[in-house]
Amino acid sequence: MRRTAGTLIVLAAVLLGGCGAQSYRTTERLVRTDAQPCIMLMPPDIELSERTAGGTTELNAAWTKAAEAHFATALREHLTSIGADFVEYLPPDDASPDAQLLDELQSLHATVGQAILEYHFEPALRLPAKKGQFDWSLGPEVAKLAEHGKADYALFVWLRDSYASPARMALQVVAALVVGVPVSGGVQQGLCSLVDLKTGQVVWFNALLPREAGDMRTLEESRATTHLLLDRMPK
Amino acid sequence: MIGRRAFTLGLASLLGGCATHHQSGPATGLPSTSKGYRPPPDSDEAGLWLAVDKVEQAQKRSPSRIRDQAANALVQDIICRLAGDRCPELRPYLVRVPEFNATCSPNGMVSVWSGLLLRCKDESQLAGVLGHEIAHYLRRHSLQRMRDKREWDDMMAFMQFTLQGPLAKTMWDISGDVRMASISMFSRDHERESDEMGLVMMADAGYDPFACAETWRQLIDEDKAGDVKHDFNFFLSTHPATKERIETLQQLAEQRGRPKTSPPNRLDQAIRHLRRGFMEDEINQGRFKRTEKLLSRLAADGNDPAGALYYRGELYRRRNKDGDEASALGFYHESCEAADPPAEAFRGVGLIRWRRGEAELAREYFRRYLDRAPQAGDSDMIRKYLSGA
Amino acid sequence: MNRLISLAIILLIASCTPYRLIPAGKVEFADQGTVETPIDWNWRPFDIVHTWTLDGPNLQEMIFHMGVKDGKTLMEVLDVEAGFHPLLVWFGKVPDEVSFRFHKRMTEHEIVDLFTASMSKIAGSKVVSTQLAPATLGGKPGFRFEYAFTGKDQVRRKGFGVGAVFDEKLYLIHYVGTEIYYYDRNQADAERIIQSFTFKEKDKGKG
Repeated sequence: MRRTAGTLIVLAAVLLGGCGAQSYRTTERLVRTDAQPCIMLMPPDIELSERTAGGTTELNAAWTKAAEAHFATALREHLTSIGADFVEYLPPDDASPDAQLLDELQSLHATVGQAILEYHFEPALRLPAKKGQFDWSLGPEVAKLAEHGKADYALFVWLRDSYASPARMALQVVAALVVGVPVSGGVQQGLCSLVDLKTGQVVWFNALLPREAGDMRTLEESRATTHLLLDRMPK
Repeated sequence: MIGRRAFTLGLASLLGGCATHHQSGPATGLPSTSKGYRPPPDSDEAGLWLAVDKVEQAQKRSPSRIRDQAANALVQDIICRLAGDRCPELRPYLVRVPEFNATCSPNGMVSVWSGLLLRCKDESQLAGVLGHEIAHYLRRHSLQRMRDKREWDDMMAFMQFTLQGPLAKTMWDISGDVRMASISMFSRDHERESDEMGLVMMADAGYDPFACAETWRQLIDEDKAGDVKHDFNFFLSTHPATKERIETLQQLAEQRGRPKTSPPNRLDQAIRHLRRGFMEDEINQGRFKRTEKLLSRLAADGNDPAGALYYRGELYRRRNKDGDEASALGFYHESCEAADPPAEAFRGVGLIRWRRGEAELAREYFRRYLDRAPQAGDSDMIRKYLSGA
Repeated sequence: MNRLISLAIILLIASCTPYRLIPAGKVEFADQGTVETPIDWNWRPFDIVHTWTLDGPNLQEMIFHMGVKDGKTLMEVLDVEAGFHPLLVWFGKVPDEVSFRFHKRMTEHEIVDLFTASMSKIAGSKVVSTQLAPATLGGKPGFRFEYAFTGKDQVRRKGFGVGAVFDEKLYLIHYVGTEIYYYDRNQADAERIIQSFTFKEKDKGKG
């Protein structure tokens, strides 16, 4: 999920009310032949920001770095616990003949993800000719990804987490005292999906709905968020 | 500025920890960075850098990126001439966007838009704009603006809940206006500072400092032609009143004088093969008057008159008001007569003749088009015209 | 810029209208024409065009321009001049913007140029046509072209269209999809649908 994932935040906010996580999948089981299935971890897109009193979110580099490390730890623990091998996606050399295709497959994944959010997660907007099926694919060219990473599946993760700045916390107090109006603090939300690298099928897509909870700045809390993101992944 | 201080003072106690950047104000509020500078990891500046690092990652593989070697090499070379030992920190990206603009992000990513390349008459003009942008980078203007804006927005957020009574709305409106005025005054200070630094940098590097004011005169001409007052171009709108700016740049150039040896001018050679694509992007904007002004200037510049004439013809043909067809035909013909005309100029003549029912004249030009572009994607269609259907 | 923003808003609002089912079989476009589709599609009217998709408009889409009149833009949203204030027009102070319009005397090249310039505005990135050749639509002489662009999402798209001018109006059907997977998956379906297009025989008593 690359730059275009930014627009997902808008969609997710508009389309997904409620809280907790919402998940769709084509299967409950990973394909397990003789060996453990191998999952390629695509570079997770994680951003932790500070929300100012004025309402802007400002990216925080130190928090983001910590969250990436915490998530990596929690993710590996989870995959080990379900008996899956994993390998990290290593971006190819710019000069490599596959560089453009590998890159575009990731962009296509973001576009397909957006279609899933818009036309599957929102029941009123579902496409009638699809007959309610959760059926989305990146196509067989994902074989290039499988070949590149020697893996059976690819896991994509997008996560946004924000926290009220000291000024915003002060504002929350002032607003509550003066006019009794609640001012929202930070918000956590995320998306992840699993793609079958033989067929291109999106076998699972999960949305962690926006919530004013969770804290990716600590390992313990990151484990909880990671659990919410991944516990319904096919095993 | 004064008004803003008063508000800030009034709220300082309330804001407590958040208003930590009170040294901002004059454009010189933050020290310049030194060679190889990296922001402290837990600072707001590090967050700003991380945000633009992500933009840069996307830019690297963006389809709008111009990968042309000659053009990239030239821009890189100009940057090194201007920035000296800071050159390794700056990474240029040429981007296909038909607007006059360049930016230099806090992390050293330099974006140069194709609309700027197309409008530069010579290398000195391009060096002037790049120098200006590098000055923003060295002086950390983005960071200052981010902090200034945050300070204002935070304060307004508090006012939203604390202003009470009959005058609240008036107070709110006034603060909004002061905020706007202050933010734009602040950025104008930055522009002024970058203008001066940029001119010194480019003159020191041996470029012609008079080019800086000339760039602005060209832009004003274009805008006047379109009857626009700095039409949503943030590069323009945040800048000091352009007239004042031109005068200052002119004075500074006079103080420096012309360079002793003629300045390098490799621009035409580096972007000659890209210009026609850039001109096409301009006509796709659907701005008739400004594009007409630009193309007529380009045709007169002498860098690629045949290309500029062809696209002027296209511009008129597309508008298709009274007399435009005849004007288009005239420009296509002029293009065909100039040196190195685009094959499409011949097709342009052919198509207008064809729709006028002048089949024989049209076919002559279709043949000349196919002679020049036998592999063209539309050759089947052209052959159908030739076969007499 | 502001035009682009308003266009973006219109597109966003349009994206909240649900699609409706087009079952396989014969489909009529009011009094303009009919097609046969071998498979079910999802249909949504947008502006003055009909749009069909299977997996979402950003993955693959068929668009039907049914009878664009002389002097009109391909879609109403593209007509910037229609939004100019009459007083500005009166005083000759209109913004420096022109819309690309269909004209009944246009050659095939000009129509394709109109198409790519208009689509560039909708897609927000430059659309280029790659092939142009004679063809027929609904039995009328016309043209067939191919085009390509890379969307803002950095995903390449390709498409083809077939068009003809009939009764001084432009009829144009095109199909577009992602270069990876989606274009190829339903290109043959689109081809068959376009082949099946027939104009509605109208009582042309207007002399």
